[in-house]
Amino acid sequence: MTLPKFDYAEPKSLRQASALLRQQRGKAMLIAGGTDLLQALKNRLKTPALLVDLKNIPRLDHISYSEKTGLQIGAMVSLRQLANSAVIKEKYPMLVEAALAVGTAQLQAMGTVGGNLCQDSLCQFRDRSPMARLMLEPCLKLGGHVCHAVSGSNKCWANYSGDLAPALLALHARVTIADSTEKKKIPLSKLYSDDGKRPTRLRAGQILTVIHVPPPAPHSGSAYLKLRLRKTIDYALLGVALYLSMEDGDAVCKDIALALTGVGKAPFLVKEAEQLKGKQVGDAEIAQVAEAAFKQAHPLSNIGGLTPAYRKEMVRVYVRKAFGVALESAGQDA
Amino acid sequence: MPTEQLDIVGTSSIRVDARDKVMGKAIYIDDIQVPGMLHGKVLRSRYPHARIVRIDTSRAEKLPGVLGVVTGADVPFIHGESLLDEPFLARDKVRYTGEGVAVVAAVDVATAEHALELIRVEYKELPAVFDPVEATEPGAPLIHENVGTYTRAASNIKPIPGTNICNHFQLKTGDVEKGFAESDYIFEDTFTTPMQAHCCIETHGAIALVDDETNITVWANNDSPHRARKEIASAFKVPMTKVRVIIAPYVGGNFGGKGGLKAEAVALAIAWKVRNRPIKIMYTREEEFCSTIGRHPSVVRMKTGVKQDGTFVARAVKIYLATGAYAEKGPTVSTFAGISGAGPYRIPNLSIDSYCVYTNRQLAGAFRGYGGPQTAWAYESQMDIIAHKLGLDPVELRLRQVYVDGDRHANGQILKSEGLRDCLVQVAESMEWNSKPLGKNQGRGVALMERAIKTPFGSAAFVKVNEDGTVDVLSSTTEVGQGSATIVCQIVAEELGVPMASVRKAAPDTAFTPYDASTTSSRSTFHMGNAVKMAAADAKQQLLALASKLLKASPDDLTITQGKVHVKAMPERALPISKVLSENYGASGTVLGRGYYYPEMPEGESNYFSRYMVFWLLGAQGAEVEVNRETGEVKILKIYAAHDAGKAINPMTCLDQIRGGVTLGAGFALSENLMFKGGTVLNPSFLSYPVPSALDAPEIEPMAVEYAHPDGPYGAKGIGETTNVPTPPAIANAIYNAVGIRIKDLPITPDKVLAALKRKDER
Repeated sequence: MTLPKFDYAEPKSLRQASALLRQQRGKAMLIAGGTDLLQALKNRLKTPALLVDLKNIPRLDHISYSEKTGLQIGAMVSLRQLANSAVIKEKYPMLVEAALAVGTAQLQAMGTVGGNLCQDSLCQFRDRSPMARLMLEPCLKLGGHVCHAVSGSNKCWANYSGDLAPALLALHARVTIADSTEKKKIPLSKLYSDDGKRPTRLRAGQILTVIHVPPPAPHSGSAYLKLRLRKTIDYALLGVALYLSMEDGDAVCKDIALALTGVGKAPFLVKEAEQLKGKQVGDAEIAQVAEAAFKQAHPLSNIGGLTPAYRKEMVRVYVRKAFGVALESAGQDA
Repeated sequence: MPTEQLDIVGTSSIRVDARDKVMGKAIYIDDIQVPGMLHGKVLRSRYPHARIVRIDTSRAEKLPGVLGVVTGADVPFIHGESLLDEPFLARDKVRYTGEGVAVVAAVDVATAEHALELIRVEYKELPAVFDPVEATEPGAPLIHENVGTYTRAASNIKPIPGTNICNHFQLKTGDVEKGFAESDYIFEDTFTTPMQAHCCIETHGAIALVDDETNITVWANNDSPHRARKEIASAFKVPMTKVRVIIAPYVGGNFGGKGGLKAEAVALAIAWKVRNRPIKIMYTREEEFCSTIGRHPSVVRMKTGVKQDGTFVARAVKIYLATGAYAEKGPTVSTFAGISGAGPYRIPNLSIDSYCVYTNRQLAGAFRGYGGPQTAWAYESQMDIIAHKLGLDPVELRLRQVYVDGDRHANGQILKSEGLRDCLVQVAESMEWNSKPLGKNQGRGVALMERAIKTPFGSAAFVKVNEDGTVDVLSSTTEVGQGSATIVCQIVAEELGVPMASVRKAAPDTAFTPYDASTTSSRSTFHMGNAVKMAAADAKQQLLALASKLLKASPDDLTITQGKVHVKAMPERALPISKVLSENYGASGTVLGRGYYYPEMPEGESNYFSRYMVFWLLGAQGAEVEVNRETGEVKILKIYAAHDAGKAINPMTCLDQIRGGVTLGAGFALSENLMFKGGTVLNPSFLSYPVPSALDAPEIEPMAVEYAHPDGPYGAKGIGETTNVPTPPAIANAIYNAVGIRIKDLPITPDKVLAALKRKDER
């Protein structure tokens, strides 16, 4: 399909951008790279009257770091820019792994960090052309009344599959949300709604502008592991991000966060991992956390070619592997 | 074969299409603009099986920018290569989700897309059937009520009236029941394969123009212009002189998918109604996945009786190929699946039944291997099951059973030029089958393949020598990426004695380039190779005759080297070809050589997809894999691939064919699966359909075995369609060798492997 007709604006300030979004009362959308959005437009899954492009807003494509405040990533930083940043490579290797796990090199060049975090959730019964959609009853996400992924469900179960979200969740990231009057910082986990129809809680006029990541602790390690059929292109059928730091000189866990993607309506933190704080990290502890993660994962047959049972089973395996990698990078014997 | 001194044939001459493609200058169908051209878009069925109650196109017709809308009622014509069963647009009923129902012609694509939304179609759903075995059972919904009365291309296509079976191929030798009774062991297994999509980089496209006097011109990326012309002329009941098919200079991939009428059919439907305007239809990627063709999903039941010592006594094979809503090439695919259904092995008692079955899904047709991948998956997997049970080495068992020259094939033909044993030996040697140690959870496996070749079909060529000594080759073989233009030019340059740079192959155009059956079936190097070789030899003889007076020597004492006619014994007594022509013809002058190759056939053989084969496609592969017991992932360590090329005209192109084919086979083995919900394709995009990326391509050691064929040009045979066929069973056999699990249903995804490992541990 060709692109539909829409108006297009390139505001020079956040204030202007937010005002444009509000004036259109829900009929305007942000574009921040467009790798997720343009296909949805071509397929008429979204039909905004106006696209508000953030690319001319100053400083949104900046990366800055200080030992004290940590990392600030502008929402318009491209995934390639993020992966090429010397300071991110040094301090947050997991972010580089996650960025390079997104789509293809071309998509990494165009896609942005903000766009990636705010990407729509996926469902193979919905993400189709208008003509191919006619072949199935309209689903909940399309404004219909059925769910093809979970028959009889009155909730939409579209799958969130972003790669950066779990990595940033595990790194305790916060995000700045701006509108025309104020800016507020919220934990990244609060961005997500757990609603398949609208995976983020952003309201009309709200813009995610900056991502803040605290400085990494000494003796910290991390891992982002992604399950997919091919070595490129594919969305995550499961993504596991683990960050941990250890006490100086012994094997006691000081801080830990584990996040999953690709196995539910939103990326999520596995809270049970925090119980490892102050404890030695042994096989039994890891198995306990893996089991908790396993229980929280709800993969469905709405994306990909692998069975949901397998993807759920892989949660245990990938969490275990992630511990191995993270402990090793934290200077511990895995 | 007499040893000839060859200068150009047998060298890896740089591909003649390389420069255009690398520099972005290659012209494809979508680059072609015809003055006054309109754009067409197709409205497609949303049901797998439904009666069309009414279609209201009035609102679409009124949309500014729309020049016309056509529905099936406006084009009461039927086409089909093997069985005339397919309307240009659905009439009365739709038989698959994605079938064309109406076409809009508009000034641009966006207007045409918009107009589609204004068409209202009222359907009444009918019961549908999707599984090929279920579709053969009594009481299954009938997809074509009149299959028994359809016009057939030849009498060897055998539909069963009153069923969904559009071809039943049978091959019996010996007494299979007696054979089973005499066997020490009986093996019975069922193997399945899903639909695989061709995934050409370029989607189907066509521009059709029909004028007031029903002169029909089609520009297309079709693989076979003359076949398309005949199909169009017969369908529209016009003489062939009124139909002209022009192939774009370059076609972006084929693999069998660009044959028949696809975008051509819908473009012709709208052009039939909206006259005197060329109308272009380019398929979207989604249409490519849902509304063209794929590889036949299959169910193969294989029963084999063997003696304790491994001697094969009897084999019964039942093959079910789901051809989708229309026969397309299904009947001939099922014939070829049947002919080689028992594998390339000496088995005295055979019973093969191959059924081509209609289902309410996207069509299946020609796809690299043509029934071979489905049957090789079965017979080569079972070969290892048997070897393991009897405690025999899989290579040793195959070496004992494999056909060699002089054997009688299951089809009755005495085999010659059968290089398959050599292929297996080369594979076993290069992978150090008996000696190389492998690591934990690693394993090795081999598989062979045999495939029939479209026989007997002809190829013609003209070789036109120009005033300046350059040469145009007029041949209807299409360059679809396989390298045929290079092969053709190399043969002409060699035969005529001119440099490669002087030879250029014209793009096919039925108005100018002579008949060729098709660019399919790995037949071009052999058939068109012979035709251009004859045409070049003919041109050469004419040139020598013309030069004879000038050089004061008999033509028999002359030859041509590097574009110069000279006395054989005295290279300095020479004249450039341009001089020979100008001395004879003044300022102008040309020489036209002709060649036509049509294989000699034994008496009584069918002249349409006969059982007798002019040559066989043969190859062997070995796989080394490592299985991750924790995740079920299979890592291909290396594929060893030896394929019988007869003679590699261009060794590099040959090896590249193998590399590409193995990657296609690896995708079929490990990931590719066009998934359906009822009749609806669930993964119609490169994002959701996991065709391997460059990063997923395995390490490959390609080998071209040169087991010369007496009738091939310089001994050459085809190779393209051998290359993907043995890969999946070789991988499956290696997986079994690594971890002891046997997967019988493709693709071998990690979830299946892990589940099988668990089942094995529980036993």
